[in-house]
Amino acid sequence: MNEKTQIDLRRYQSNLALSGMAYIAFGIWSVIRLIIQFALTDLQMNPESLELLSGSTALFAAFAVIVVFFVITLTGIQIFIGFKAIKYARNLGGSVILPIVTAFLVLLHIFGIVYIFMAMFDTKQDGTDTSIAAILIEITTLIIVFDMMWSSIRIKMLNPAKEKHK
Amino acid sequence: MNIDFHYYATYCAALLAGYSHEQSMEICYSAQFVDLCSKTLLSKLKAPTNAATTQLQTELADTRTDIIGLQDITRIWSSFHFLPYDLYAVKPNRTRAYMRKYRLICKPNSDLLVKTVNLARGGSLQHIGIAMHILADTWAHAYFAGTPSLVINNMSTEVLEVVTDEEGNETEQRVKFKHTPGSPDDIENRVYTNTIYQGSETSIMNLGHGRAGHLPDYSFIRYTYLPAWDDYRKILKDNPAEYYKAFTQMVYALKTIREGSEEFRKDIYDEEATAPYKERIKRIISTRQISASQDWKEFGEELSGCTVDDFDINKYQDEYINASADDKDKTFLGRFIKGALAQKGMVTDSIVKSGNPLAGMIRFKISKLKGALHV
Repeated sequence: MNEKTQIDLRRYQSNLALSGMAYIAFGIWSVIRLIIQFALTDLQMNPESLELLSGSTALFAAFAVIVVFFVITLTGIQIFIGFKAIKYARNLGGSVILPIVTAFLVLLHIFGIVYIFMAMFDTKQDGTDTSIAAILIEITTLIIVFDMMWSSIRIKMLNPAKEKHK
Repeated sequence: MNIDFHYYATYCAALLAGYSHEQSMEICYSAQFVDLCSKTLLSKLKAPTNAATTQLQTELADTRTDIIGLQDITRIWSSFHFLPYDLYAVKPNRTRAYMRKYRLICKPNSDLLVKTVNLARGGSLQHIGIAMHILADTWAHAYFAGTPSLVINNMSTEVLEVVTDEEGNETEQRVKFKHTPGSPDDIENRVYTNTIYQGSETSIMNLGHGRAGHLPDYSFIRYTYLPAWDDYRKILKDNPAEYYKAFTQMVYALKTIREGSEEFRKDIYDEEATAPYKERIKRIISTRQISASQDWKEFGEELSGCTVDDFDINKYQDEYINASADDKDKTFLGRFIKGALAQKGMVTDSIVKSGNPLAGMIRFKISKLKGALHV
């Protein structure tokens, strides 16, 4: 392995580890944001659903549980992928799955951004400021995930046979 | 470097360069004193505090890191411990703020080193000692800068020591770092102390080789690491080889100063004078120990036939305190202070002249007395 390859490999490993940590941080932020939303503000949802849920405490509670479960599951997946990325960067494991999963996440986040844009122009829903914030977060997350995908692909190309350090 | 090299090894080098025992003692005392001459000590002596050649940990803990504080820190550390290699270095696609720090990176055989040694020619033995300290540190402290900077002085957490077994096979063993400065390094298990990671660019933790701990100051160790400034390139720091070069270059520098026939030039090493003792010197340098003081001391005493006193920081303080105002410059510490001021002025002026405001914004003129500074 020549020096340029080694330098590139270290660069992408560093990027991947950093992106993995950032993705974990964003996952944890999702949980914190949810707690803040429950504690301080009403959940953002369309008026018909809100009208339906507000009539029944049990239904609202069930909805809240579902939301919490959904967010925690997503966060768990984010944390899992983040740790996988870090392991892959440090030559401690991982395989071709990581590039595929991160490619899927890239598409998912692109759809998320598109959805938020469309929701911004939906006259029935309010909260342009929160939409803008959400878009910024989504774009940032997209960049992180894209970097994870690109770095993992490049690492695979540069170092097909990984070695473990002591 | 530590006292083993700055004091005892410098003594040996001075002897090999032809200085007498007494002269060598003055030179090596001054070389070691550079690591101890802080503002606190100078205040105690009622000496000019701008002659400080180091900062204590307690002083650093209290130091401001705004531009004024940073300039003060940079003046001291760049002038005496991390002599910049190339004040006009070029690196593409970097901001001006980054380049100001990049240009302060220390490496051996710089133009400033030539100026440092030649500035000491015709000066006092104390000034010569200061120059030798700086020369030695350019080897040990290479690739670090004497200014607090995360983007320059940080390094990867993965530091690998290159270990050679009895059969000559080399392997890399990971070094572990801890952040307990009170406890000694465990060199057998490769556990060393370094400064804690601080994300702030100008944190004191990112000054000099703090992030590498004492690794640069151990003569026996060879290790690889990734410095923050080198774009993912790995550096092999071969301390045994570099310490030997530092020693032979010191002998050459001291000879040029003593004989006065030619000016000091970089990349020249006096292998001839050290040849009879090469194996012994390499053995001292390569022995895995925290301090090689005893080995160097024994070597020095064999060379001179005289006893090498242990370093005593209080040795010359009474002489300075009790001297009259007119006679202070003639005392041992007075001559040291003059040499320190001259050196600091020269380096600071060079940095300012290069357009780098990190060491100050005013140019100094060095008077003929080599100590009085005129703005």
